Amino acid sequence: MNNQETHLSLSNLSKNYGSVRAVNNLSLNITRGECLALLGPSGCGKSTILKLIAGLELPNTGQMVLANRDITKSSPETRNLGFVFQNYALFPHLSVGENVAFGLKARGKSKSVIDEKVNSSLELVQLKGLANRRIHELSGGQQQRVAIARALAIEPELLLLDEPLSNLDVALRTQTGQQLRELIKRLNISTIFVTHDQADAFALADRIALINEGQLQQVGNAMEIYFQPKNLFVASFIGHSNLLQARLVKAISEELAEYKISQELSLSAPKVENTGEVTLRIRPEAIEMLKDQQTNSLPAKILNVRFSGTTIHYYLRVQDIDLEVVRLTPQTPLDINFLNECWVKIPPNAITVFS
Amino acid sequence: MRDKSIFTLFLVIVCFVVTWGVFYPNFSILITSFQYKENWSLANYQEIISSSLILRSTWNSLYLSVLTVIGSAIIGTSMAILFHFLEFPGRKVFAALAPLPLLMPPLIGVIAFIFLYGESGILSRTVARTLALSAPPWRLNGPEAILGVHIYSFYAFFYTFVSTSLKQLDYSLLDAARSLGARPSQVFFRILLPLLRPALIGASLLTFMNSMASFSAPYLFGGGTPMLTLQIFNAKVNSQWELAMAESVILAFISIVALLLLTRNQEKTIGGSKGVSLTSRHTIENPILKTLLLFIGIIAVTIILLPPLTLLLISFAEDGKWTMEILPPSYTMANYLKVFSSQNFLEPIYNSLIMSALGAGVALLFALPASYLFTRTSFFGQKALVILTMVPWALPGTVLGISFAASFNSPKFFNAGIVLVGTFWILPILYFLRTLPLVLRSTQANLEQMDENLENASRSLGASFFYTLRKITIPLILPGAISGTALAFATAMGEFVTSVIVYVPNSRPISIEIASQLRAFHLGNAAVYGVLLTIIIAISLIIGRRLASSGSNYT
Repeated sequence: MNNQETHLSLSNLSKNYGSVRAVNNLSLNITRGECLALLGPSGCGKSTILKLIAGLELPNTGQMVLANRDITKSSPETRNLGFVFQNYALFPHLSVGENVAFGLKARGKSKSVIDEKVNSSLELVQLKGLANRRIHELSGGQQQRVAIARALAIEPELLLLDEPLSNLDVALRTQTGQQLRELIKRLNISTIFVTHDQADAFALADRIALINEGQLQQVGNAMEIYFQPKNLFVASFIGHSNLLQARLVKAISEELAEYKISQELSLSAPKVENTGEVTLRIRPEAIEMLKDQQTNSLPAKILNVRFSGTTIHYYLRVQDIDLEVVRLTPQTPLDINFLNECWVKIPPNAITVFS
Repeated sequence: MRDKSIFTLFLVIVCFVVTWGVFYPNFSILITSFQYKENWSLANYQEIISSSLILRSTWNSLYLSVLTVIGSAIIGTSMAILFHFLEFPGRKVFAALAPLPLLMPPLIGVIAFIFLYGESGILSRTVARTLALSAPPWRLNGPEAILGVHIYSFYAFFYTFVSTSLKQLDYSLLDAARSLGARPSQVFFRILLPLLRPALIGASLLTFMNSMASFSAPYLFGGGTPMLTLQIFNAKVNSQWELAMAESVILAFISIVALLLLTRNQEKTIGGSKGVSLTSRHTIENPILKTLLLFIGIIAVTIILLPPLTLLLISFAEDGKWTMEILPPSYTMANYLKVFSSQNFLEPIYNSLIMSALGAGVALLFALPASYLFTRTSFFGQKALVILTMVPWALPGTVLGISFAASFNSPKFFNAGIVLVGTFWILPILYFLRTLPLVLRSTQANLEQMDENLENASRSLGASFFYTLRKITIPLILPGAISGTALAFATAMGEFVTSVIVYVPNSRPISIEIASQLRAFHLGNAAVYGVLLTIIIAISLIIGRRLASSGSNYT
């Protein structure tokens, strides 16, 4: 993807609300046809970024270039971006068709062009034939599709989606997510969407930009972010993580070092430069659980077991430290489930060290 | 940006209107009140303090207003609660008729009271004949009479405020209290009443302000009870300008304090929770209780309906034929024919329609950009500007009239050289200022309820600021704005108190004509005007309500 053309480039964007820095010196590029997720906890500034791109807010500093055009200060109606709002923001006094036609009418398109485009846009989101319906006659899922059709009808440079799945119930989420991804890929339209839900980001996006406190934490695809978190925030935000304070005791080899976690527990993990306090992240699915002792295994007490279908979560005490372990549910239930004690092996590559 | 310069233009216009029409006249009252024989002096206030008449009229205004609030609160609130929680025969009819007195302008209510309870009123004569008395056992005079008219006219504030509040109440709160072991009386006093507090405070302040400002009742029920509004009017009639100013300052001060309390109360109550609504009313099964409630309801409805019905009856009475009988002895269409066939008689109606439409229409045109300015932007002094626009509505009509009579009587620097006194324009402009807050309030409420993302969506779809305004914002808020305008129009149609101070004979409004027909003992003509005025007001209020509810479908 590196050799592809940059479609939208954000450089050093900042936005303040009074003394609050909603967006702090953010730089980010989106390549043509890419689907990018802005992921972060609520209030992290991700929605503000979307509004800055759409021109609904103006940045205090920084620059935005869309398809070689500087749009930093241009007004929203000149940017040609399709914005799908979290609550859809469908015009209640207009019909479905009039909603979809709105952007085209504002551009002064002829009636025949508008009619054709309205029909094709509604067909795209599988709402053909509903053009004359009133907005309040539609279900939540249908309303969302009208909002998408309305945004796509203007043939936008970029599609911007604010929490696209958050207003849908659980049953509809997965299905809508899949349809949305299919549509985006089929149209090959560059898309940026905002979400607080890691699962939505992983399911929809090509790349994920993690935002916290207005700052970009890490950009990468789902695997990169999961396996190589750049900092503690990314590590703790993505997945269930065992985060432990530790101190580097001594180097074991070129790559490995020994870390002392507590009085009784020390582990070997990748070596870092820092010799002071560090934090270890141990991925819960990378810890091995054994019935019997092996080399390098440690005795553990099983405190609690939570069965959640495809996976089983174990809450263990290893020496004087609590750890969470996730295992895939086996074909036949293991008798380990009924044990009070077991052995665990924590391979060094299950551990990421943050200094 | 271009939007910004448009906002600035709006702001300049709003500031000009508020400075010219609100700040300048009121400020000049204040200045004049401190002048005596063209010198700075406290003489006017010394006269007020030393004059037992003025002190007594201030006291009368205050204590009558407090009594009005208490009486209206008891009647209006208990009616609202009764009709909301209980189911008994006739409830729907009673509930629909209860707010009826709001339809009648105070002047019409007062006249109807005279026809009904006055010395030769229908009910007075009926009672006197039945009891074989030479005179009715009461006289429609003095504080009791004023209080009676006040409570009749204003209890509906409490009824509508409390009813609306009860409709929006979260009833799971009452159920929760019950489930925690509270007795019904505890639920009422510890849960229901505190929840109704904002509605009760709002209605109390509104009633208090209206009662302080009341002019028609003391004016027409005449002597015995000096009231502040009447004193101001008399001082003006006797050309004691400075005294009138000083009295106006006192009355204005009380009203503006009430206004500030009212806005604070409203700010606190914004965003009522949408909870579980009442699923079923408690049906009264006990036959004795059922009959009792029905009986009370019928009496209440009779009291509510008698004044307007009397007005209607008198409008068909032959002038001069009705002397000693209980009811007018003969009926005729002559009064109506006279009004509709003569240009001279139609003129006041026509004048009022034109002037009220002008006032309310300009208020609408002004309120659209102003409400946008007040809700979508923020700037230094915004809150003060919002409150200033509300002052002409909160001020007693007498004070508003006096302030204009004194400020626009000759060209001055501060009135931009515009003389309004003695011209047609003074009343439309006063109607505009007085009813603007009604339009502003409903427009602003609609703008606040409207999702700002609708405008954002329009902009991001490629629509300009003006295209968005034209196609999205205005269509969505227009029903609410027009319903506010209908209320403004109705209020202006019934306006009497301000008009009586500054009207021009050539363009006298209908209310002035009613009062002068009454003074000439042309009761039939006065009643015809009263009926027509009430019908016009009712029609515009019904249209307004229709529009308001059609607008709320969107949100």
